Amino acid sequence: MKQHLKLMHAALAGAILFTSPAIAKEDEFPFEAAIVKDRKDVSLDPDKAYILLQAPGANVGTFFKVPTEAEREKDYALRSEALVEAREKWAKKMVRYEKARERYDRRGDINKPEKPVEPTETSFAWQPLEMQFMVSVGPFNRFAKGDGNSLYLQEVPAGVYVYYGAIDLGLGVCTCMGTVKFDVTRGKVTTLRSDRLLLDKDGNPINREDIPEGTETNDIMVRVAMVIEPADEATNDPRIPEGWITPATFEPVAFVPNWYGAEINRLWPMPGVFAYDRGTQIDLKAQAAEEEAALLLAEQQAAVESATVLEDEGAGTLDLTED
Amino acid sequence: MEDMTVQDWMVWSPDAATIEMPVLAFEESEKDAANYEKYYYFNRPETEFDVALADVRFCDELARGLATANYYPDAATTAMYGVGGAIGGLIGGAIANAIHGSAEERRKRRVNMRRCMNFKGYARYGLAKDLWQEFNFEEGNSTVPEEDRQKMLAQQAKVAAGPTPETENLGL
Repeated sequence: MKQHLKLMHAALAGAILFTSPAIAKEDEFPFEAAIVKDRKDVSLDPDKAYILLQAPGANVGTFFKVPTEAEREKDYALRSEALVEAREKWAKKMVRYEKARERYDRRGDINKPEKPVEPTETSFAWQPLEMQFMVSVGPFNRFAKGDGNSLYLQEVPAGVYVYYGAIDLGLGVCTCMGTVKFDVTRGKVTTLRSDRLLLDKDGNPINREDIPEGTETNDIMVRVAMVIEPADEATNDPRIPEGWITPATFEPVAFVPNWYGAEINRLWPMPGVFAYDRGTQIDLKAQAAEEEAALLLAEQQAAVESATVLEDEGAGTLDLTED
Repeated sequence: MEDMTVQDWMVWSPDAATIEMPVLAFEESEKDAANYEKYYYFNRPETEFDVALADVRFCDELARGLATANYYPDAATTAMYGVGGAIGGLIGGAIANAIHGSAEERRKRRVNMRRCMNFKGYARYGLAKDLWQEFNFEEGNSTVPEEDRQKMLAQQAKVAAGPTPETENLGL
């Protein structure tokens, strides 16, 4: 047990070391989120935005706010400054390395020096802003719970949010290989529902509840699809002001990085929003919009052609009259 | 190859002809079959080696928290995070390791590779543990050196792009 605790402390110490840029970021990029607990006297603030996650039982749902362009530009500027400093340090390390390498090549009986990794625009590690803008709800602190209906209500800054999966204390699963984003607006409670779907070995759905008999435990753990869908009417809690409930309008997100080194998964296809072609997410909304635009264009072209024919026929008649 | 850095190995482009094809034939025992959830290889018909290598690498990097393909609609900050996901991956990995130990890390890798390669259309076939160990590694307390990792991933890609196995496709 002591060893266990030691490891934990070592890991957390490592985490603090690695997240030091994030501590600085908290001042640069404040992100205030709060759980709305199950109380009688709930008072929602019209100046705040809310996410309401519905689930069949206790659940964890993780979201992050997509940084705005201004926030990204500011973060990029901070990173650029840090990169300059890192390159200066690397240049010094390289001088020491070259000397050590020369000694190693000459003598061969000393430890081979390790070549320092050059920090470049692509290789320089930087804490993603999204991790700063991340919030998880559940499994505790439900806003309401009933038979097969658990509600989690979270106050968040308004913005565009991505459903990231279920991360709790840095552990869990990300929907890295296909997910959705949606607007969360001020003075509204944006709703969505989370569920799971058991799959067979070919990835076909079995059901949402019962684990098939005889299935090997480790296979069950793998063959699970994550579902996000519109919430149902059970989200209409009387403590939420009338007119505030707003179903999320989903847009596809093809990929998000696995920042926590968590388990990876993807959302089950969402009718009318996205599907998959092997590992590639297909944006059905964009596809429908393109088809509609093509249809409109074809109709316009047909109308122009029709008008031209009529015009030509009209011109012919006129010519004949003149004759 | 002597002076190749970790980053060099991660983008190493070997010639398929130089990669040794691992032995996949074995007499199946009950114990082998019971362990197929752990010991397996992937294969997809009509797949070139380079494509298979890109897929195996993508899944490997995503599984260990490194894949950072940009998801922004514009390219202004495409390269912004670089391998920055490593920071998150390291935190998550370190905490997970401390709480659950290396067994959890091994389990997670198995789950991740199975899901990721299945999503990419690869079938999965069982293999005897000793044969599996010749070109695979476990994720755990100790880190697999990048050179060893990439050489084994290249062999996995060679198998994935190789002849379709006659044994049962175990699926997801």
